[in-house]
Amino acid sequence: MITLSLWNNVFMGGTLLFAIVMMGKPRLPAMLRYFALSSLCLAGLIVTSSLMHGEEQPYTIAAINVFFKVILAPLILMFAAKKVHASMALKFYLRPTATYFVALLILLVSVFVSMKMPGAPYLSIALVLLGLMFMIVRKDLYSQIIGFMTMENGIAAYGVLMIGGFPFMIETGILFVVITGAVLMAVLSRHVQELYATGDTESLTELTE
Amino acid sequence: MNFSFFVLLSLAGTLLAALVSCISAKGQGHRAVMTLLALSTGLGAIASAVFLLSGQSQLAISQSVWFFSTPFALSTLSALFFFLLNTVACLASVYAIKYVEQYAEIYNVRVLDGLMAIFVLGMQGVLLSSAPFGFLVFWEVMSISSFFLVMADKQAASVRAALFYLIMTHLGAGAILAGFLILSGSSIFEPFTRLAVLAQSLPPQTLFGVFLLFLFGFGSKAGLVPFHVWLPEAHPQAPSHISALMSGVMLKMALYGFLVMTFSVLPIRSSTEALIVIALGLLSAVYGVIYAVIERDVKRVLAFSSIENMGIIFTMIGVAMLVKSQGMDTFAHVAIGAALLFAIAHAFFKSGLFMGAGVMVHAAHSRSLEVMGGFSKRMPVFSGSMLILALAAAALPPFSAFMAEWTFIQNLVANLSQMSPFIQGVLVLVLVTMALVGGLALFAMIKLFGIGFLAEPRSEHAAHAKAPDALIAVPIFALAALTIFVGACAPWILSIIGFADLTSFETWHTNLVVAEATLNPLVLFDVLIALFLVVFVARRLLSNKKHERPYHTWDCGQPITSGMEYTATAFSSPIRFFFRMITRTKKNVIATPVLASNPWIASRIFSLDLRQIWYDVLYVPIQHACLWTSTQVRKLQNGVIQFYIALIFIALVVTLTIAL
Amino acid sequence: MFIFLNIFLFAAASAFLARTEKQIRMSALFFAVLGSGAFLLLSAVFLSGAFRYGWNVPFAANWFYADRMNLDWLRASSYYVWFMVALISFTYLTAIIASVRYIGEESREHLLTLDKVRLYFFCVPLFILSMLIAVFADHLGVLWIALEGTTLTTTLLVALYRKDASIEAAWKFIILCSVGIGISMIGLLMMVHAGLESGLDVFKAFSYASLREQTGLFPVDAVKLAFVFILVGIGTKVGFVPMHTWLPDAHSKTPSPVSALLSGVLLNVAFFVLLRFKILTDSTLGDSTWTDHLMIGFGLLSVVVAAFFILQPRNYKRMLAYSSVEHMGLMGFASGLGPVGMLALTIHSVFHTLAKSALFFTAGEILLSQKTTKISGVKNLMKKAPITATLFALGILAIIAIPPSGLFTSEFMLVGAGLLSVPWLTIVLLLALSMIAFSMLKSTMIMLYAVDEEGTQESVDHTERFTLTHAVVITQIVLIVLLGLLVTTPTVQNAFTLISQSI
Repeated sequence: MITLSLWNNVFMGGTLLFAIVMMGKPRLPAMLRYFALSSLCLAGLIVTSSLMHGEEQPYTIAAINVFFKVILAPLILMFAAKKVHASMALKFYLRPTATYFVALLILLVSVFVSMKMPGAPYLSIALVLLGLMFMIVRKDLYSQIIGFMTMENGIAAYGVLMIGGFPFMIETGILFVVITGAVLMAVLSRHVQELYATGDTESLTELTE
Repeated sequence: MNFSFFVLLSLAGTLLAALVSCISAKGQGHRAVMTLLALSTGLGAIASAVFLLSGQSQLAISQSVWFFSTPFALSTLSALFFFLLNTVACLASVYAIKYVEQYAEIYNVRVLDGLMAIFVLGMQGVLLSSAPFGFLVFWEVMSISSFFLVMADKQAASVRAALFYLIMTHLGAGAILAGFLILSGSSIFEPFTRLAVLAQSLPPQTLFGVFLLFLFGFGSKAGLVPFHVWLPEAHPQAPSHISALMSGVMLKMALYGFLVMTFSVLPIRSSTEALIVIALGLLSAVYGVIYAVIERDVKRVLAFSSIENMGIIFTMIGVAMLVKSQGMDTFAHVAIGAALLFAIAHAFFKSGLFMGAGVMVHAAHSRSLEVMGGFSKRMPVFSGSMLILALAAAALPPFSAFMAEWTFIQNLVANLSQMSPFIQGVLVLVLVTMALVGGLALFAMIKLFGIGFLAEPRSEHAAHAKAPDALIAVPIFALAALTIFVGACAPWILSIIGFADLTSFETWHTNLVVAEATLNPLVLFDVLIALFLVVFVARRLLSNKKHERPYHTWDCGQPITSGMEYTATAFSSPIRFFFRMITRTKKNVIATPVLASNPWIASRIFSLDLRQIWYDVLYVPIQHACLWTSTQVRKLQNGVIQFYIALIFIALVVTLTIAL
Repeated sequence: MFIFLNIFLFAAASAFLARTEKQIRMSALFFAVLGSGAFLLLSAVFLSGAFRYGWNVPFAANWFYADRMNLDWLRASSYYVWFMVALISFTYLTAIIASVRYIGEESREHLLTLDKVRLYFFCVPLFILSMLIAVFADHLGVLWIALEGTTLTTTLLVALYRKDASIEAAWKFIILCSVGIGISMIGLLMMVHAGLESGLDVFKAFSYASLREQTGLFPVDAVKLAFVFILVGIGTKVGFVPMHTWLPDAHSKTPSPVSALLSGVLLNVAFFVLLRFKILTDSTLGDSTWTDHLMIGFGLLSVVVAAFFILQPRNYKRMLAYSSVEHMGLMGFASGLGPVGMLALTIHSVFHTLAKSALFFTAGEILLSQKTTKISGVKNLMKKAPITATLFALGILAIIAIPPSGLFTSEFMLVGAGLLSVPWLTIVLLLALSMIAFSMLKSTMIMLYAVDEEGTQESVDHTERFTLTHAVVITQIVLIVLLGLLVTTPTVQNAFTLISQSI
């Protein structure tokens, strides 16, 4: 049991660490890699945490998670980006160093916020806020998708850590919806690339008052 | 005798008229609709007149389940206004039969007729409903239909005027709604009688606030300064029979609402409220009359004159409130009577004048007085009736408005000695201002009639003016006759109204001070007629017909042209000069020499820029502030998705901080 | 129940099975009549049964569900659910009828290819299905999936034209709504957590109904926190300011029948979900003051900001979208005002749905005939297309609460309740409403009557044809007037009171 909780902590730390490292990566493949790593840790977390909660069969859900988030989503994004010959260098409002600084601030904030919440879901709040921040500080479409999926990871972490997992069908349903969303976003980003020849959200500022 | 059936029949007829105009084929059915409307409103007028004469004080029309069980009923007060409304509407629909046909290509006749019927229906409903919900429903129906009527010709100016009217009336309706609902607390569908009971238990500050809301709500509809700005824009733009209805009757709806609210729903507490009403009333009277003098557009003159008249009526009501708060019920009673009498008079002469203005505008093809003139020779009977209406509007004896003012002033003077010095001061101010306003009103009406009807025509169109069609002229004659009738029979009318039932739950004795006035109008009228006859007969008898020789006016042997005539601008010049602080008129004379060598012979272009001080000082800044804020707010939607996400984030953080 | 829900799946599938464009439209119409007919009938039966014979909801629900699969995920837990179902199905039917005309016209003019028509009629039934599930959902996970499902299906519809701006609108729509729903998920899970803490098992803790029964045991602070997350999250979907930013973009770029669905029912569905959690929170806190203040705050902010947006509109579909923000704000404001406010809200949602969808349908007609959504581009519409212009004007009058539109009744009650509890804010609300009425009528008048310099003569010559959309809109306007009058009678009033209190 001691090893299980140790693994649990390792996975928690890993999820968060990789997510933070991802924040500052200016190139698409690196960013996707770290997202995959973070999601992988999350899948590990699902296994350990479910075992700690005393459930027998966490492996299916973890496997689905790994398949969708670690393999499928980055692949789809990479494929979409390659297909339209998108530039692998991403644009941002905040430089990587500044982003890391803000990420640290967000970690602090999430400590305070999660202390107010029952069970102190530190990891999930941090992931959700990091995801939000990621969407705000980055200019390109892929980062927004990844930011959104980071948020979803945070929610999944909350589900796993606080509630001990969803019912199987619901979990699958949620994953399905999230992945459909990601696919849709990837499709849309392809259209944007085709129309504007750039994956930059600055081109998407026509609809104003 | 059950009149309620006839009142309902009248409502149904009006509704039917609206429906018929909707389903009738294009270009047909106009006469049928107007006849139907005239019949239904005529029936309503007769029913309410019979009810007034019958001496009953309450008449329940119907207790339906509709509109949250709003009770429909007539009291003496609402029956009086119902009578005014239906009479004027009946005459206006007769007038409209031919009048609208003249402009068939400008107006969409079906829509115009339908909206007119809905407009009349709305006003009928306002008078009948005695609970806030029904009252406001019909109030809104009235407002929105008149909004569309103002822009019936779809000119840019009309649309602008209509929109300005809309925002004022919508704000006003909002204020009335707020007033009602503050009074009613949690029982928002209760009738007015219940509101009056509920109002007793509210704190004075709340009541004062409610009073201010009502003052704004009804005052903006009645055209009180400074909420009047829409009125001189909107009333002239409507077709003339609609202007007549709006000015003659719709303003009375506001008056009716204000009277019911201040005297039967709100308990009178302080003299502050009364002083505010008096101040606004006097301000409107003075402001309205000054512009009535200096305006040159015939329908705008009448619109400003309406502001002035409503100002006088509200001053009378304000005085009534003031003396009532001092405990002088009798005088208050008389002041209200005078106000009502003035309202009756105004309904008749102002709608008559607006209908007449329609004839003038049709003849001259313009609303400007400067191109009119000479109508008296071309349409003498019509001019005669317009003279009567104009004199009535100038509050000259023996016409109706004079009777009202006379009653009021006489009683004011008689009661002045019994008051405290402060109130004496206020009342003296009222007296002086009303005298000033009376003088200026006379000036305005002389201008209207003198420039519009007398002398030589100032334009080609005016020179070819023909007497109006009988169907157009008859309503105007009828209104002129009614004006004389009201003036001559003022005491009788007041005794019929019987102020005991001004409100249904307050008993006032019907001791009419008017009837005991030292000046009996009938006698006065007889004396005037007698004098006129004496002079007429004397002239006939004494003058020597043989030496009379008709000849055109002598002008040093030159031919007379209309260019020599007095113009409306010149006529009003002294007044304009005197009040230029208020009116801020800007006179521009551009002289361009005809011959380059001789600067003395020049062609001059004269233009006068009439400005509205309230518009510049009050409304333009508000408008700018709103637009500026709007421009700032619109920056929220800047198209940057990161900013939008940040907004969600900020909303989350701020809500968390505030709420927890 | 599941059988009936399957109709929508069939409808979606039929879009790919049918061959020609006309077949697609006709099969969509067939399934729309079937699906909405079934659900309208069901809700009519249940609601009338409830009012006439006093059926209670559990009875209705039990009769309805063959609880075979032991999946208690969907449940009609209140009259309000049936009321929402009726609204959704009615608007669905009208929207499909309008689409038959609108999409047919668009594809005739080669603005849409056959594939896109397929996609359109594939997405709309799925969209309706996810809304129905969101309304019926008892399991919070299902609820969340359904809400996200509405976002995903409509994203495809927003992006249907594949032009620059529609892709942009779709991108913003999917990102912002997903973020919003993600945030709400945290709130939902916190509620579940509270349920677990209070002793429910994992399956029960996800059930809204069992959470409702346990509210007394919840920790107050946690529930408050959860509610704020839900409010901001679902508020994004509802369109509360400042989370409304996706709304005007998405509404202005979708085909008009979908705009009508978005504005008329999607916002209402999201609001209904929010309302359920407000009730949950209230019963935890033991009194509603705290949530009331939040709702009033967001509601008022939405109305006021929308008023300033509407003051200078350039695009009539965006104007209608901001008007939806305003009306959601009004409903939010009403929901904070106790029982009278809830009654006002219920009435408001009916008439807002009817009037706003009618307006979007007419806006579609205007777009078809005038080829622009700019207000300044549409001139002298009264001459060019008198039927559409008249209907648009009537719709605008209905939406700015001119009686006999039922919105007047609901706003009357709303203001009445508001003046009692928050007088000053209500006065601000009234001012904003006046401003909105003025601005909307002003823009309408510009569109209807502004003089068109060039080309007036030729366009006057051809007379406008009476189309299917006109028939739909006329039906809606007649309904607005009739219901607007009926709603002032005690019987109908009682029915609405019953619905509003059942939530």
